[in-house]
Amino acid sequence: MTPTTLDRAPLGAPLLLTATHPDANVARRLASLGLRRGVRVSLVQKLAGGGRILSVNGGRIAVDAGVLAHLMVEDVA
Amino acid sequence: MSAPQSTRPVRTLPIAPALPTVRAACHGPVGEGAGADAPIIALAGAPNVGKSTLFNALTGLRATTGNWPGTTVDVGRGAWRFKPDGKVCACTECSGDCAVNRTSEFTLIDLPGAYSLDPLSRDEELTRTLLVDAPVAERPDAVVVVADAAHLARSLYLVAQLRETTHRVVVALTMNDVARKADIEVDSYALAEALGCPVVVLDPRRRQGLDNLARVVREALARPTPAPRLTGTPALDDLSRDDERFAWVESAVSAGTTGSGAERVSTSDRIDRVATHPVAGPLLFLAVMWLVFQVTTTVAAPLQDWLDGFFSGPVSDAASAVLGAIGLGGTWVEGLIVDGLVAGVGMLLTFVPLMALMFVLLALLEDSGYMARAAVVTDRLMRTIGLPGKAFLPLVVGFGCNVPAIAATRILGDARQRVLVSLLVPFTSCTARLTVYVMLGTIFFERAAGTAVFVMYLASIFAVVGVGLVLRRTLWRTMGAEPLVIDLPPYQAPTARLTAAVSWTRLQGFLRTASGIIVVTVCAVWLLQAIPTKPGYGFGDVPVRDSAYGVAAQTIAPVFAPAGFAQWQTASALVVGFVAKEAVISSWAQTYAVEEPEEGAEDLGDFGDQVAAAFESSSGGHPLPAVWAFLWFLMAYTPCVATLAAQRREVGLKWAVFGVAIGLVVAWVGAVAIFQVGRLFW
Repeated sequence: MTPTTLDRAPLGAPLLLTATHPDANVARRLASLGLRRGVRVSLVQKLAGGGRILSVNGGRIAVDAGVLAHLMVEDVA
Repeated sequence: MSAPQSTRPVRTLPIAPALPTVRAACHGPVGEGAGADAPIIALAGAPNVGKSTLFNALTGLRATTGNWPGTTVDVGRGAWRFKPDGKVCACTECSGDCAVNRTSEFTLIDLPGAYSLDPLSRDEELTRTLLVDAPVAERPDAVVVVADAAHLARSLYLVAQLRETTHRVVVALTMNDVARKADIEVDSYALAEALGCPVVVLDPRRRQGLDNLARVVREALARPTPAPRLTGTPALDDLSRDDERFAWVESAVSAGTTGSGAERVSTSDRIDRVATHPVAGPLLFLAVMWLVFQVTTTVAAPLQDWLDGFFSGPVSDAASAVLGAIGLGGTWVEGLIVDGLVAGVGMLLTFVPLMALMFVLLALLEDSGYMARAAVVTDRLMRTIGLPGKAFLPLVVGFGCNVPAIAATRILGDARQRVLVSLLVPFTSCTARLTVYVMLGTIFFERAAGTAVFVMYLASIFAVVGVGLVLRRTLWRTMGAEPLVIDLPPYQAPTARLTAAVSWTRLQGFLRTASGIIVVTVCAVWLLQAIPTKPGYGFGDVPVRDSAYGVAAQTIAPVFAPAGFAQWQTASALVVGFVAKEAVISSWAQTYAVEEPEEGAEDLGDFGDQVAAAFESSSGGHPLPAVWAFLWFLMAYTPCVATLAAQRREVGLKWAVFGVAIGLVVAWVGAVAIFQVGRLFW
């Protein structure tokens, strides 16, 4: 799969986060929850308004569509 | 609160004298620490790892806990007492009787949840100030970092940063049962080796492993402060430093754990398929809120009625009998005690079942982990007024009773959001206002009374959103919209001990604050009704019209002329409604010297006729717009003094007064607009 943003990625596919959020504060918040460049993630559940629940290191994080649109991923299946 | 006095030499703070420190200026609401010489231990950790639960278990105090992020919104302080078990010092001379070994208590500081020492919120800023920015001598003697075994990596970034300082660090590993369910095995010895600090496995919810933690902390205190961990090149930029820390954390996690539940579909995932589903999620949320509302009102109602009857019947009778026996029967003393104090305290206590139920249900929702899902589901709606989804909950609670709703604003981590929601809660139409809607609806709209009541609930929602939008675009315009990034903890079965403890703490807080204000205000109203303003009447024996209360109502009444309800009796009902909406109908009826109508009665008799005549006369022949204006005013202005007391406690006196002003302005302007426009058509 070519690189895409996380809001366009399919549910359930193993993904590699290749670029995190450009806003330093948001990036730090994401990193504190384990969501940083180089980690494997997968989308678990769709939320209203385009948000998703992500699986990262066994934890679950709900993220809105605006943030997802800035996170670049690659399929690693 | 005042911190315990330290016997250590007074040190100057040349850099930032105003900085709070764990020794000198903690402002926690929870409790006092141990003795002045007791070592100070800080409890730190990422949000939602069981930190406050551990604090409560170690100190016996009752900090607010919940299975979702942002529960600790202040700093708590408590005494952690334990039995010293054996020699922990490294002295070669002593036989175990030195000060280090005799220590049997610590002062424990519960810091707000923080993933790191780089603050993104006020709470995290406080954690950094106390642990890093304070002078070394003012810092705690050791830091216990509470870490979630099921999500170890995200708990250890803080450890990585703290290990770069000279803090003595002990890692307390919680959520081990959740980790085991996710097939994660933690080797605490290997983890301790990798982190370079002790690791203690414990379960604060079941109070297991606490003695071991005390022993390990004592041992850590007996050792010299550790050397900071080596981070490689000293001149790392922020990004490289972050990478280095994450690499260190990953290496420690790899060394200390085996297995990973990353790809498993857990029970929480299966529940979340419904709980956070775009369509089913909001429906489930509404159902849960409806259930909370229903259970609270329907289960509490008979108990409230019983308590009401108990205080107005046997307790009042007994008080009258006692006063009669000592020769004070029929005097103003009887009036003050029976009609003022007994009635006032009785009214407060009738709220106790409702509050207790509400607090229990909230605690269950919080402890189970559902609250984080509710925040996700309501996020989009609340975002329109710049608030996160979890702000929806206190507003929903407000439709039952505003007082617990104000307390429920604590679920919001951000102080500015808490203030904003506390100002919006009074616009949610509580059940006490419902009684007045029903009465006026029956008098003026007869069979359409139900529709009139429904319109008032819509008006209430309109007021919340409208005032929220105005405040958001004025005083709160600098409050940035937070992106939704929220940790969803696994669901867990709530424990009875935690639920009871949290509910009891909240109930105590309500009673402590509300009791004083309610008693004083009720007594003041009684006093005003007892003071005659004309000759020929005695104290406590005067018609309401000629009492100070009646005269005051007649003075205030003209203010409502532009809204069409300037009769003094109507104005007096609003004055009493300021104290409590529950008292509106009875005092209103009293001003007409007729019996209080039965709730829901179709035939309101003389009282209904007199109210109808009053609106007819004060509105210049446009009673319906005047009634709508009155209902709007009643819905929008200050709900009751108990709500004010709760606001004062949660957000301070200044904001409570500001809330009263907003309520009065919105109520009056809206009422005038409704009447002036309405009379053009009706």
